[in-house]
Amino acid sequence: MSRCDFKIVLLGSEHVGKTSLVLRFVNCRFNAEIPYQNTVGAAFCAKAMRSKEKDYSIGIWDTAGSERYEAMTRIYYRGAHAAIICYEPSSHESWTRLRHWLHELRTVEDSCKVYLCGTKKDLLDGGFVKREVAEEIVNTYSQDLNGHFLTSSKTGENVDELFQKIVDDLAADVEVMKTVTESRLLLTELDKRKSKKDVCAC
Amino acid sequence: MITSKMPSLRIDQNDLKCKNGCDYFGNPQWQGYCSKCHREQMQRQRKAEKASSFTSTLPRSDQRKSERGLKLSSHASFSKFEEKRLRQSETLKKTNLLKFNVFKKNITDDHEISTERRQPEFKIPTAVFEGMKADFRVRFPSFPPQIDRDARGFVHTFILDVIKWAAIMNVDELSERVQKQYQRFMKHMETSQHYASVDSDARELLIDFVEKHAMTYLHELPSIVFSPSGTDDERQDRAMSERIQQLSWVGEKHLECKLDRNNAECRRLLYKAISELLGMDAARWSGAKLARVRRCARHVLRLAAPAPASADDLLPALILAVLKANPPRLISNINYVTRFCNAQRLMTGEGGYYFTNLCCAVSFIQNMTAESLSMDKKEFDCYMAMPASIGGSAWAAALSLCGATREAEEQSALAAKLLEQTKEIQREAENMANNAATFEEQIAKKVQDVLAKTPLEIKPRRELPRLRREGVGSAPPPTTEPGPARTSEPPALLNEPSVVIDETEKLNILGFEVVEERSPSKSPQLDRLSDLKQSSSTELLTPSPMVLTPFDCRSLDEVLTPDEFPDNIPGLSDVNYDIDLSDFSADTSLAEDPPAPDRRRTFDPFAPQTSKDSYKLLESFDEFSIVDNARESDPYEVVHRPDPFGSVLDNDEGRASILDDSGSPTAACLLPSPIQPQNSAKPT
Repeated sequence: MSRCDFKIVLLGSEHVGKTSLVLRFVNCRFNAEIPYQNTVGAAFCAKAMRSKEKDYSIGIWDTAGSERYEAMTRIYYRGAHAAIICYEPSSHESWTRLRHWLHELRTVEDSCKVYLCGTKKDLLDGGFVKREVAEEIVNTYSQDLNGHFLTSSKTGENVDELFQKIVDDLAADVEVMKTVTESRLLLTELDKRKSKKDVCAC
Repeated sequence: MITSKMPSLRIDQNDLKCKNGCDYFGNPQWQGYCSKCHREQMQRQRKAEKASSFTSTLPRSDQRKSERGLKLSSHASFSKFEEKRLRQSETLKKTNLLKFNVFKKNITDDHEISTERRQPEFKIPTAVFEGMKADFRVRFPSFPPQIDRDARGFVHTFILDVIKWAAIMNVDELSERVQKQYQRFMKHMETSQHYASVDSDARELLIDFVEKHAMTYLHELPSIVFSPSGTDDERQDRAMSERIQQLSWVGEKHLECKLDRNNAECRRLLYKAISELLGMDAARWSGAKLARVRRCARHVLRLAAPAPASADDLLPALILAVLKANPPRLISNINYVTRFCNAQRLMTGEGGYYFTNLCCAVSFIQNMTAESLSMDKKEFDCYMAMPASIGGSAWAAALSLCGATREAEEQSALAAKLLEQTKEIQREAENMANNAATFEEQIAKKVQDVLAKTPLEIKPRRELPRLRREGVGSAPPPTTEPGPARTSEPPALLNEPSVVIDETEKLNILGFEVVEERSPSKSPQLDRLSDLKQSSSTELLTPSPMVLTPFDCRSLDEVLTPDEFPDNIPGLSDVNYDIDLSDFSADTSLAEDPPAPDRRRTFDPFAPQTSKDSYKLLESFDEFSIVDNARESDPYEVVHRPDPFGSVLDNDEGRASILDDSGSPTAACLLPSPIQPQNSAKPT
């Protein structure tokens, strides 16, 4: 159905490969099984994922990377469960933009899980481009984040791993959340009963 | 009274004085006051008027001040405020209207209404639940009626709750409350045991169903959920609409989207997207609105085909679509969806994504600057200063063209349909014609069948003569015996040939026994008649049309009948002619058998003679032949002499006038007269 359990937002500056990442993930892995929205485009993709014997449907929201729409990005990640911030290791500019989003996410949606994703790994491994973002800096940044992956949409390397990790984390989180809410409900009910009893006693 | 009204010649001096009682004279123009008192009076009146008007406007201006507060200073905010006030008065009107609608009690008594206003007890029209019931049956036919009742009960409490709290809460609180209601229903579905058999997909459909019916009803009520009172949604709508009008010059190159307005397919898709956007306002619950947005976005995404469209393609194209569409009440619609849709359900999926994109597009349009369009600020300002009417872009033209082509397509489709229909009609007409033809054939066949059967029916006809023969068998004595008397009694003689014909017919069918019986009866006749015309029989048997013989004047009246004229074959035609005469006998048996003469002609050589005899006798009754009989020796002079009109006209002229042959066709072509042989026989 049109409902998705998890909302995952893709952020990143222009031409870092957000759309390619989504296309790779959605079309290759379960290619035969679910040819979801091949014709419509990669702006929004929904996919069924499995984590710990439970099915979840995730909706991946692509965003426009162009700088002129940067102001509106906030509308996109409102209520997102997870965000993937993409950067290009060979472009320092993309990294600076990443810091901006990171900061915004921290302040606006603090419950949102953030994953860093360095794209175009194949180019990096092949030596076609030079690494501009130092690995140490990335590591320091990703320490207090939920994860960091270097992916290649061309070969499909690490793409599935990235999304699987996100779903696993969210699923675990949901379990926790559920138990929390249930226990809270129980408590409130108990409170009500108590208060009623109190009233009666009086 | 009467006297005062009566015109009196004497006017008292007091009447001329000022009404106020001052010593000055008054004037009727100043209502009987003197000039000074009148002025004072007028001033007093004006003051009183002012005061009354002031008191009436005073609370409003106070209200204004209190509402406006510090913003009052700038002129721009004042105009905005005016707008707001207008809007408020509008919504006030609406709420009044709403109360009349919602309180479904008789509005006859004003007093009653005023009491009702104080205690708002809403009664939802039963039609809402009737419709819901029907819809439920269609959508969830397998669900137990318990769920149906549940859903309706929930919608009822939901609507009442919202209406109750709408007056007290602000919009955000209300929105939260609505969301809680959705959650309450979901929880209810989870806990209640009669939902145990319902799977999660159906549950989602059910919550959609509930939302749809509740919100559809609430959407219709003004200022409750759609552009609620207390918000400036309506003002924003107007501002947005004006803004979009101002930005009508923005084209695809400003937004850097890859659209080609010269491409018909591209135009068509954009046109479709725009029509979906425009249709969003008409949809009533957020689910339907979101569906519209989704369809719009899909059209926009298809613009980027064949490459899979990403968000980088979607957003600019969507912005362009919004700019070109200028959808009505856009902000109100967006706010309505964000506030009152079931957030958990609708906002997480695809619809939510596209809706978010629409929000982005709207916010981009609101905050559009020169930088965001990456153009020179001066140029941007120039464009913005331009009156909206001038700034029509080429896109507007392209889209109107698209609209026109669409209309043309519709028309052509209609025409094609009509053509098809006419073809169908033609086909059916042909079918019908075929049917008619086959029917005709069938009928013809049937007729033929019947005709084939008719020869069988002739048998009774053949019987008929036999029956008559029995009659005739007894008759012979009278036929033979009055033979000599015939000369004296012509009608009796006229009967004779008819009997003969019948007998001759019988001869063919039954054999020769009768012939032997008959022939003696005939022979005396022939013998006797042969005295009158000796050679007539021989003449008739030798048909000689080539022989031009003198015209018979006595037969003039018969010859002139046009029916017989062209058929006049000499010799043989005489036979026909005679039979007609024999019909005068009023013998029905003869009339029944028209082909009889032919047969008789071939089989009975005596027949013509007998008929000739009858003719001869008939002639004796002719007014001309009376004279004729006297001078039988000269038949040529008969016509000339016994002219009945001779007394009136000259002898010569009389000949020409009525009985002259020159006017008749017979005289002109000199065709042989049917009775020709008779005459030709005479001179010889």
